[in-house]
Amino acid sequence: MSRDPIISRRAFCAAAPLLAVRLQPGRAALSASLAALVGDPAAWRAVGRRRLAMHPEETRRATLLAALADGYPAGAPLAARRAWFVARCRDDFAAGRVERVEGWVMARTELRLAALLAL
Amino acid sequence: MLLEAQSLPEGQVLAGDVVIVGGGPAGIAAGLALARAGRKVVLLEAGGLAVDAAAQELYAGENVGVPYFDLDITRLRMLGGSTNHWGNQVSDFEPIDFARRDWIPHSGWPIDRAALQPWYERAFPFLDLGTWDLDRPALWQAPAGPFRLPDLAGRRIATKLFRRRAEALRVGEHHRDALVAEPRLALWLQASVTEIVLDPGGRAVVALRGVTAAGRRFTATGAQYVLACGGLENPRLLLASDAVQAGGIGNGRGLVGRFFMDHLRIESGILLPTDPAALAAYADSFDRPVDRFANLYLTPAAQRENGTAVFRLKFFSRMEGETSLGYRGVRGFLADLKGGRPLDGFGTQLARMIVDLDGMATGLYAGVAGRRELLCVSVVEQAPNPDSRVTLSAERDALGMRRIRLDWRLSDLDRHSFERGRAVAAAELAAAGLGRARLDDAPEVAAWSGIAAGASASPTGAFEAGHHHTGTTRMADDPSAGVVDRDGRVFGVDNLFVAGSSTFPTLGSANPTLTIVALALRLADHLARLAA
Repeated sequence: MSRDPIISRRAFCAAAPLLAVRLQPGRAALSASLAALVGDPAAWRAVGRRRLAMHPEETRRATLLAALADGYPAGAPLAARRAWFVARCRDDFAAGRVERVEGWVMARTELRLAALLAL
Repeated sequence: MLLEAQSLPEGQVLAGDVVIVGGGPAGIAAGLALARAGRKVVLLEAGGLAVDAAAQELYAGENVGVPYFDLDITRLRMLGGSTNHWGNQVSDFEPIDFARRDWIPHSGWPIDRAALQPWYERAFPFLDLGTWDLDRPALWQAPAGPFRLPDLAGRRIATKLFRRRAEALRVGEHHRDALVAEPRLALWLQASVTEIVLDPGGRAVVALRGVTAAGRRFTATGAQYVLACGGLENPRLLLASDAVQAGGIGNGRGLVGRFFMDHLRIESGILLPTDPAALAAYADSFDRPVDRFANLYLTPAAQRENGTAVFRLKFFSRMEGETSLGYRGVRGFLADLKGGRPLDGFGTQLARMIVDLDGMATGLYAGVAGRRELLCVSVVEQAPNPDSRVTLSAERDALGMRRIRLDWRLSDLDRHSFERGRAVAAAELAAAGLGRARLDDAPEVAAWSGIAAGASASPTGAFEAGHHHTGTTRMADDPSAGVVDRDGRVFGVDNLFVAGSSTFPTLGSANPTLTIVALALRLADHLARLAA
């Protein structure tokens, strides 16, 4: 493990959608709808800050929203949005769209969401 | 018959139809099969029925490459050979293991997987595993079997099935009564072969010269000769027998001893399982009295797509956080304290605790709460490498034989197979919803990653080899690519054959013993046919 871990196990588990994501009801606006998916914003923001530092080309809110919005059922019920998010992360894993943050293998979609929340 | 060579007078000649050197799994399997086929067999075992320090010392040698196990520790000179200390994990090789893989230089066997099936099936009862069942995953699955195997259809990882006896089989002990009872087989203990004698033209073996533990010389003669003394000793004997062929028997192309390989076993991270029960088949194979378990491995398509050799993954349950730097610091400090030396490593342990407070806290909490995580252990197939080799040193053992000088080398391809393999496996486990992985850049792994650049690493601990000495008399269809042909015959010598993992052109996707026995049984059938 790195010498100075920023992402604790607790934070990772809270941020990893396939394990322990806490999803909440959506809102009208896209960013609010996305932000509402997570139940532990502090943990997500910790991951997001690291991701922002790793990818300076993806530090603008508009860029991240555009990347996340493709196919996102913003107005759908929570269950549908949850399914979409989990499926998209799994697609990322299967397609190799993964990145390592302090050793944790994470899907690009979940990292973009984390980055959005950290802005 | 079981006989003690120590009782032989000086200059005794031991005669048979087939002379086999080595009483390990290959020699015993081939010897019994040949005797039962009506051939008179002389089986020469250099050791006795138990481990003996003086016999082991004859195996001592020099490691000059990547640090490896001491050569008198990594094998046993006694009846049953290294099955007296093996891990007892049995599985077959996959079709891709035999194929020519464009992305793996020097890969490809002259035989395919299907050709070995009849002998795999006979090797199973030889290893006391009953009827062949590696093609019946239902036996691993609940309700008939002990596990619930996950559905990995369409994934880049798949399940590889293994058998393991709850009590490890000692092949020599297990077959001892059969060896004693077999009238056409003479098993000589304490009979070390030191030289293969060729006719003046170098086309055939006329005798083997040896010496007993009592120091008396003997000769063994037959129509056919089989070397079955392991991946280090087979090339040693060929290289040492250089009276007629300069450089050793079968070494006209300089290939004897080259391509030494071993599996790499690396603790490489942790997995937080979504449902531990879904991965139970892949976990803790050593810790439970199970006779069936499984590994995950990269599918052939994924190996091709990612340019890797075989990559396997298995798990060992740990307390959550147990593998973290911080928690190891706590454990190290407590161990030092318990051992009455609290200050010895205190600086190191304290540093670990300070830099990984999270890990330390998680480990301590999990110990109370009983939470578990899975330690990921990667097993990597080392790719064939001609520079990784066995030669002979100038130093001689007590019998006058030159000792082994092992120059084990790892390559960038090996590092790639490890790094890419674990990354793909981690992503696929997440895609399948089975768990989330953290791939550690632990100091041990970093040290291994530096090996190709010449750094050193310990062969024990988080990174180690598998004691699978392989490739040093490799099988090929052309003498420019190997030492023995598809039937195990040494190129250029009509009646000299080699059995064992030294003939493997590549390491394969499983531990070698089942394939060693299968190939030995196949060789026995071949020799019996030749005699007929």
